[in-house]
Amino acid sequence: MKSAILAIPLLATTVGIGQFAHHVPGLNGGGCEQDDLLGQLFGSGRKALSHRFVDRADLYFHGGVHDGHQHEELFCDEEHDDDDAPLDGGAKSFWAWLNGHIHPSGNAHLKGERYEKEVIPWIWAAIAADPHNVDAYLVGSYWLTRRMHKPEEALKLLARGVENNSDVCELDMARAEVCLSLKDDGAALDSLRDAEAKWRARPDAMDDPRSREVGGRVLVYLGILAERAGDTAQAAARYREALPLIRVKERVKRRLAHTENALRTRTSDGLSEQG
Amino acid sequence: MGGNGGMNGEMRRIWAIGRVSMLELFRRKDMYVAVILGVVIVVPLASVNLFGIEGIVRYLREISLLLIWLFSIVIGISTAARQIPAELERRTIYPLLAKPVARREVVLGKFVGAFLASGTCLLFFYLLFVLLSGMKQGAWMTVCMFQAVLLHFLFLALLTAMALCGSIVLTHSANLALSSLVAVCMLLFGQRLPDLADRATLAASILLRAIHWLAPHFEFFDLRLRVIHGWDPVPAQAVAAATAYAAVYTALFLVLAFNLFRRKQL
Amino acid sequence: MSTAAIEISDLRVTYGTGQEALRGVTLTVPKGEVFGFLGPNGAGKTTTIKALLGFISPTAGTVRLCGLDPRTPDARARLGYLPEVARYYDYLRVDELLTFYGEICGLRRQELRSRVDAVLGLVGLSSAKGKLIRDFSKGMQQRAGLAQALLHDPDVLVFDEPMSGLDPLGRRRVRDIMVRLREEGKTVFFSSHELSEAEMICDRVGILKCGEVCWCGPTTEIAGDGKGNLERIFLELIGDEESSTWEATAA
Repeated sequence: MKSAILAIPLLATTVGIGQFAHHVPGLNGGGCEQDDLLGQLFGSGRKALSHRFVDRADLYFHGGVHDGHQHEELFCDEEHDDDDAPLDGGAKSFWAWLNGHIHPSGNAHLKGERYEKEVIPWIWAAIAADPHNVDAYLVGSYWLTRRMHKPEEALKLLARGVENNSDVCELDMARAEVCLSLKDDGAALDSLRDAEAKWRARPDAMDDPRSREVGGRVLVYLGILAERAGDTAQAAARYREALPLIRVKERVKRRLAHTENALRTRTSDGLSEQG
Repeated sequence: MGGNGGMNGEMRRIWAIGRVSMLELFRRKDMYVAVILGVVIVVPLASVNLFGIEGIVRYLREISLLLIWLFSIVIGISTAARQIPAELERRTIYPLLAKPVARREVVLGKFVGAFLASGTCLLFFYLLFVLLSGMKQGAWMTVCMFQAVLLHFLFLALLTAMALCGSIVLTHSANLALSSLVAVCMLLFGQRLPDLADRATLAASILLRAIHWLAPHFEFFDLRLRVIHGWDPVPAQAVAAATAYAAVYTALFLVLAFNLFRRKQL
Repeated sequence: MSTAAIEISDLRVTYGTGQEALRGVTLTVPKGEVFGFLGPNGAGKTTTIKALLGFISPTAGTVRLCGLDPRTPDARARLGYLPEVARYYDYLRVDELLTFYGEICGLRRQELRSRVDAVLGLVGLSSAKGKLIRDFSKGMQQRAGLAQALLHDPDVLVFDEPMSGLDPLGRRRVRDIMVRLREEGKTVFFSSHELSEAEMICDRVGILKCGEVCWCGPTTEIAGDGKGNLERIFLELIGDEESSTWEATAA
């Protein structure tokens, strides 16, 4: 009798975990079922849970110690220096001295694929918890592509992200970036066109600073691809449109100047030939 | 008939009482639930496909160690808190105390039994943990891991003594609640008590400082962060200091328990 | 050293609530005597026994067990106790239970094994040796209690309601054991409601009423004239007051 009573919650837990593990990115399909299951379990708390998991990824990146830098290094290759905090923090009491030795302080960044992959489960969990957490997809895409050197997995992840967030242009842009790293300009162009369409459909496309930045970057990428395809005029038009939108303008200015110069040269060559 | 037997006799009586407590725990089968639950939670998590990347182990270590600590707190407190109240409630204390056994020997025997029973579970959990961690990443028992296990046992001894002492003066449910609260809160916030006291109002500051000075600092025994993230081992003098701290505090709780039980009218 | 097995002198116990449970009980039980301790419910019999065993501290007066303070382990080494409500560790087998108690009493392994078998045979539980206590009937638990009290061959035995829960065969077995203990020179102090049993077995009886001994004397003083004299004495001392109280309440 006792065994039967014990078996029921255990069975339920196993089934629940199995169900949960089945509906995860990187495994099988079932996005809508996942929404229903987790939505029923957590309601709107899933967003908070998902953000918590992204925090956890950041914490893991810093060796388990908080350092106050809000996820910045998760998105880019720039890192702040490892801290050399004294082990006991200049302890004044026995408790502080002992705590300083027991609990690590200062932080160390994960370096090398062998250790950097430890961040992955929390990104996986963040996406599993809330398929509408766009940041989680972006972080995941970055880590899979740049740190884990698994761009194919990144593309699969972003495909799921696009499927679950069909109006978010950042995911298409991220997909384009991965395609560009794989030198697949055709796929990149398709993704960038989707990104552009979604960006232009946004009501706050020109008002929200982040939205402007994203739009600017999409236009820049389109310009680069146009340049590669030999369509200098198109490239120049893209750069011209992008310039007021993005923050860091120098590179775009250089690219615009280069394309405008190329256009002028072509035009004057054309005139010379006619002449 | 054997006499009281001096120190040897005392050790034999303490061991006899402890052994019977351990037997109770293993025959009641409560802790097997914890083991099965732990396995049921951890094994599926270990086999999840994370974008086809192999050898990821830290998340598993974190979840496993969290479960080990949770189970150790639950098992440790519930085992210790039940020892003497169950004797009183079931009235088995009367035939026991009618024997040539001192009340302090009963308290010590109960402590030994509760600690060894909970400690056996803990050892089993850690064996599973080392196995899982080793299979996933090839790293088996490191120095840091060894220190973590040692300090966790010290934590368990202190927790057992605290719950046992509480069981003599408090009701069962009050003891369970208070012991759990102290253990969890000190693990989570013990390190930050002085900072919190500095920023609090006068009354709250006094209370927080009193807790800081009086409550056992369980966070001294928590090396999870080091084990999970592969930090260096703790210096030997810090381990020695934590051991001495645990020994002193455990002894204090046991002495208090002796005195309370000695005065208890049955 | 005193020749008395049990010496209770002006024993007073007042509980924390202010209730005076014992108001100066004085008793002496010489070695080798079987003493019956009788009284109605609430008279203070169990409190006296608890003080005798060191479970509670007297408010005033002294208690001695073979000349020693009963709160010391040395005194209790000579004592065997059967509690009124026999409760033992239900997750143990009866032989494990007795082995545990034997180790507490300091019995060595070889001796302990033979003593366990002997007492189980004495109380008629040899066939139930491998059974868990929780599977015992009430009568079997009572007999297991008797076994643990006799295990270490104590000089003084304190039985609180030893016949409780036993069928007539079980009661006869306990009676025979108590007679045998007397023949061996043991001191038996037992409380009971079974007046006929007390009259049959005891050398002396004491009757407790409202925390005081109101009668104490040898059973030979109660001449056996077939009129149930102990019961008569008991009711005269205890029963009249209770029945008049009942009549007043009914009126």
